[in-house]
Amino acid sequence: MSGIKNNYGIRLGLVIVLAYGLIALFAPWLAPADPLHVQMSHKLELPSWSYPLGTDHLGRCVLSRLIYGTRTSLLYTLAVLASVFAISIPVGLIAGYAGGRIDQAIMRLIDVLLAFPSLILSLAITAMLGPSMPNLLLSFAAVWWAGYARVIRSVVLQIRSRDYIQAAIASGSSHGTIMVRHILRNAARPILVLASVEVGTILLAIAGLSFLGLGAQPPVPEWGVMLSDSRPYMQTEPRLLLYPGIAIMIAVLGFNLVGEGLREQRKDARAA
Amino acid sequence: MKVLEAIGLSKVYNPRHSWLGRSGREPGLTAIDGVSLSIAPGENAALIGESGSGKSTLARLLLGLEKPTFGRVRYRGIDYTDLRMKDMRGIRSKLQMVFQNSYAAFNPMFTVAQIIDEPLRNYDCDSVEMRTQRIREVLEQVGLAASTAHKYPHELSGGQLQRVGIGRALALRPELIVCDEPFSSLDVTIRKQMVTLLQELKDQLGLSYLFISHDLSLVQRFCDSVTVLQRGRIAERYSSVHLLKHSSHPYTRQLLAAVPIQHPAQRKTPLQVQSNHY
Ligand SMILES: Nc1ncnc2c1ncn2[C@@H]1O[C@H](COP(=O)(O)OP(=O)(O)OP(=O)(O)O)[C@@H](O)[C@H]1O
Ligand SMILES: [Mg+2]
Repeated sequence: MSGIKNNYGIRLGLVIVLAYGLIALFAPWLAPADPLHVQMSHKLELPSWSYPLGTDHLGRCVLSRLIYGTRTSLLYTLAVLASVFAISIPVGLIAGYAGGRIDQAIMRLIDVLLAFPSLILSLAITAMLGPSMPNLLLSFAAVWWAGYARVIRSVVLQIRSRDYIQAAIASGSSHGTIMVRHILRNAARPILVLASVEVGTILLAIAGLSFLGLGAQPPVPEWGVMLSDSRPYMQTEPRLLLYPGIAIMIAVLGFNLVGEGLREQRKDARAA
Repeated sequence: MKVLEAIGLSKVYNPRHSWLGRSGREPGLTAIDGVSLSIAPGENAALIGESGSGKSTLARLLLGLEKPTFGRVRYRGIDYTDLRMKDMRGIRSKLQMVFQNSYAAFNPMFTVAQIIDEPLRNYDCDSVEMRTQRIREVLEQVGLAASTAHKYPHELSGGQLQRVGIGRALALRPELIVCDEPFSSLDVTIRKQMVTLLQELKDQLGLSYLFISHDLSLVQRFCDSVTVLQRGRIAERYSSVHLLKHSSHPYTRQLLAAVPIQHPAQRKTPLQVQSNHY
């Protein structure tokens, strides 16, 4: 029963994610206008044939900004995910595999990092380094790897205790070979599931920090930036906030559906 | 000269010596406690003892898969207790193991060919043809069809998996194979086939075995000497298994009285000797 339900969820999620991916990929062809083109004579126009979702306070095409915003958001989400995993995978792998003091030292560091609310910590780091997208990326990676490393370590610990690791040692394989060929290969799937569950959260956090002015900087088309740009017009032109809000919401929904679906499937597979 | 010699081996698990945390040591769990043991070339040594007595732990210590807390291990007089992973390679190829739980003993992502190939590629068998040839040879030795090479562990039966395990152990032409309850999950007929297989391999290749088992009838048929392990210590040792039935040691008598079991999970009442140890 639940398998079928999840299946629909995961399919809907995949459709959404795929649609966003295609929009991001083909943004230049899909967008009706240049997302950066300012036309003060056309500001705050209602939807029309030439501007399907109207224009913003600088007369820019809202639809085009949304479409290019997809590109920005997905790109940065991927970049954050990649940099977070670039740190957390090796750290988690080494902590779980080496054990002993190395593991203990790493775990204490992780405990300390996790004692802070991660969003506020990355906010503080970005504010300190100066608000910009690369700095945001850096602050995310610096803070968020800890939680992932901890989960990855526990996956590694589980695999490490299997007899085939002992067998690999008896076969004369080196630590490096064992970590990559045996542990990482078997950990890849749970790590992927972990990633898919968290994509939505990261996307939301990026938009949130951009909204606060700490991430993408205007005039870059980005959903969080669009939200903060439109804030002064909340009363008179609420639709300007609605569009990026909905774009974010559907994106997060799509990623979460896929993530949860994968996680459920994994649970079922393990129970079977 | 003895193929394998262990002197005063002990293994203590979890003696916490954390820094930044609690200071001082906590007493750990002593899984092996002062065990000495030796195996001569061509010997079929048996190691018996109830579940949790430390048989698998001892096996791992003997093969250098884990470092003992105290004691030494020697292969033909060469002490390898303190050797680092890469310095042990030479000795590793001579001492191999067939693991207790055949399902956990194989990387689920590897095919049978890759499983047997792993030791080969680690020991300077650079040419792919030579390795493929050796894999074919080994599969034949353990009585598996050549087509098994492309199967994954989950596609094989328990008996076939156990043969793959023996094949992996044979690949490097070892002198000693430690078999950790190799047949506990197999039914009686297949168990007989496997014993015959091990006997044939021994006759062909001049192997020594350290045979860990719950099945005393099997041990009495197949093995020469026998060591009885109780709570990590040697309770008794006989140079001939036939002396085992005359033992007056209460623990051994209890092991002898226990009906041979198919699988530890099927045992209804655990042995009473060391119930505090579970
Ligand atoms: N890696 C480990 N860490 C901590 N304790 C361990 C570890 N391995 C084994 N032990 C403990 O050492 C004792 C001996 O375990 P071992 O697996 O060697 O027993 P065994 O004789 O092989 O039992 P069985 O017949 O069930 O396989 C047990 O109490 C076990 O809990
Ligand atoms: Mg065991």
